[in-house]
Amino acid sequence: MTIEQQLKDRFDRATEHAIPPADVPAAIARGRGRRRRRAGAYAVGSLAVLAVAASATVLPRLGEETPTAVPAAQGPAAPDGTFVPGTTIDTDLAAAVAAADPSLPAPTDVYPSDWSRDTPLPDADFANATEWQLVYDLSDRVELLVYVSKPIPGEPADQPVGTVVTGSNTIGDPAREVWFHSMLVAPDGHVVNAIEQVDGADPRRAEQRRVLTDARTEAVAQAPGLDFPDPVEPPAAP
Amino acid sequence: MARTPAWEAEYVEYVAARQRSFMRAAYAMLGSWPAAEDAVQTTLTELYARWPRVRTGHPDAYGRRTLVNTCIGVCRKRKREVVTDRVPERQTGDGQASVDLMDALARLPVRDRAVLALRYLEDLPVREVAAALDLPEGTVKSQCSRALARLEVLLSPAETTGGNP
Repeated sequence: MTIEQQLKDRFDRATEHAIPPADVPAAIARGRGRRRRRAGAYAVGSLAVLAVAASATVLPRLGEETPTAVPAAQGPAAPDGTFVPGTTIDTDLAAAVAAADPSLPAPTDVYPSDWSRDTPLPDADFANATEWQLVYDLSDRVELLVYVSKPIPGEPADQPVGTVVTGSNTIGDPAREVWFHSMLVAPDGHVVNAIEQVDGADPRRAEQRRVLTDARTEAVAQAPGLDFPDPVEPPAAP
Repeated sequence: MARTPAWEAEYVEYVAARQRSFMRAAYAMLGSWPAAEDAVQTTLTELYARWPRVRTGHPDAYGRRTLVNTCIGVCRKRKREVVTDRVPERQTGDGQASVDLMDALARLPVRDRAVLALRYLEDLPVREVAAALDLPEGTVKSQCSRALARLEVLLSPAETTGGNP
């Protein structure tokens, strides 16, 4: 008997009894939260690498895996293409991105959040948002996150206003993604990040897998109209 | 007013079909059912978060890659890469041989365990193992060969003596 067959037979015997079932409802609940939360956490990570922008004061949340609070509403667009009922901010932001790069697909998620959390705001609280995030699936291994945030009061931007900063970095330990990002601080202090997130730890392979280019992420970061009304009742500054 | 994603039922169906395979592979890498359950839960959560974009591509490859990375992360967090505290939750009909196998696997580097789990325990072709581990196929072949040789050495005393005394 070959070693391969011995290995297989022994392992089959070791696992022949009932294998513990996965808790699928729990995975779904956490996954729903993660679909939104990770975009925020990752975007903060990008800010840390760039060490710029007023919104970088949310750094205490960098990379943090907090217990998941399932958002009040989840994910996908309604049949009419809207994500958050009661406002056009979601579709306005999506339209601004589409105008800057018409070849992009429709976003798979658009949602509000604020600087006090790394979960989405309940849809009904969108007027208090200090940030909005748009997620685009570009391929099975590539995602684009567009992250628009208001400046945190009292936190001066340390990046030149109106200048796009573009770079790349690996994310995770062990590394699991490579980000290609462009960031712009607008004259009023609001910040736009366009982050192309590519699965894989190898920057060279990630470069090959990219769907966009630096020029395209820069175009998205500078898209006219990527802003939203000031929050009505923002949370205390972090 | 929660909106349920249209693809969620498809995800549930996929998980129902694959969770046993994921659990076996995680057990082979971690040597403990509770640790395997945790790793699989993490994987399923990640898979859900990425489902809209992996569902039309290669969900198996993504899921396995996530599982392997999770297990590697678990092992790195441990003080040692060998699982010395593993105690089988259930004794099998051929318990000693199974224990010997898991002890032998635990002495291998986690990347060896990963390649063995996918290639031989899950019977995946080299191409799929390469996709799951994000490695060239040639590297998978050489890693398989080396890992098998190491395992054979570790198992051979038990084979020749009929088990541990």
